[in-house]
Amino acid sequence: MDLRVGRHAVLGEMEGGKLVTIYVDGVPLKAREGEPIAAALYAHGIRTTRYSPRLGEPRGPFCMIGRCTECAMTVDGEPNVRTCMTAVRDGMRVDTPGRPGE
Amino acid sequence: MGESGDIDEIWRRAEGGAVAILDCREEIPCDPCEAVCARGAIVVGKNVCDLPRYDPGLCNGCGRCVAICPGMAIYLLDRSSRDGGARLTLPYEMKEEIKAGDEVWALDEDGSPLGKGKVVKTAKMNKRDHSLLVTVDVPEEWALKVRGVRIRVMSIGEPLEVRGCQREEDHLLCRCEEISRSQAREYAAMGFNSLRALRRFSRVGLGYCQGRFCQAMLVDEFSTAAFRDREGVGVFKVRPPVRPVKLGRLGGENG
Repeated sequence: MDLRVGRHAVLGEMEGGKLVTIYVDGVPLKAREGEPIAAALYAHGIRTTRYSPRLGEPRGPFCMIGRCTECAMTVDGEPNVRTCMTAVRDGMRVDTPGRPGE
Repeated sequence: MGESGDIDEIWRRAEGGAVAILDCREEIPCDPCEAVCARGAIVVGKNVCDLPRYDPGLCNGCGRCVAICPGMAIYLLDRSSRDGGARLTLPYEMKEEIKAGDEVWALDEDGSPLGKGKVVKTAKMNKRDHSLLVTVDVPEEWALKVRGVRIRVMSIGEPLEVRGCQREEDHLLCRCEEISRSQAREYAAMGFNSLRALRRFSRVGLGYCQGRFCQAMLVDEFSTAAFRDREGVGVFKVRPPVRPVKLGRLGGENG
């Protein structure tokens, strides 16, 4: 199921970027180029973006405007990238930090 | 009122029974009132951001628009009672229960109490609805001023409560360092004299977001727990950059 907004009440028809592949924890997923990484994950039903360092609890996108840092993931090896603010590029590697047991 | 109907006509029609008054001023994408009106009295039209156009001549005072308006910007005016008062039907979405016979405070659009009114009846358009329609009798001179009701005991002039959530449910205040509200309170009660001192001890506001997300809540919590005013608590020193930037980028690296 695709949860993306096709037609927006105010902005009209939403033209999605071209379909590209990103690798989330090694699993290839289709994403629209230019959309926020968090949006691509959300569209695939992925709600957990990281595990909190102290309690090890799953966390997901919260503020969606780049302030709360709950959506920070490791992107192409770079830690603490706010995925709600970072656009999808083809071949991106996105990893979930702090997974229990690692 | 312009497109929301001629107020003199509404006033006149209200003598014969309930009629809706639209106090919608925000040009936002919103049109449930149009969809719910069975009489076609409310039209938003093709541009969903337009203000509703309203023809009071078509309104039968059913109250559906009152219940559905997310902005609680519609109410009913009924001047048919013989004692000269105004009977208003207002949307109510607070937790405190209101029932027929209750004496309530009639509030103006700023939430300030005008005075007391008497609840005649309460109703819900349908079971799942979150809006309760409260019908209340008020003096005629308030007919166009009242925008809400409040049940809690309060004297006129008492400042309205500023803090929204009063439940003692615990939750995270500082999301980065994972410090809960109850923990922040415990720390605050230990006698630190400023928010910055509390930060050095507990690490609140020292995580990735650097207090951008949590500072307002921390000030609130600390001032309450430590019985200090907000100025006395102080705030974190704001240093540039205002948003996270990679050090490498400041050093000239691209990307």
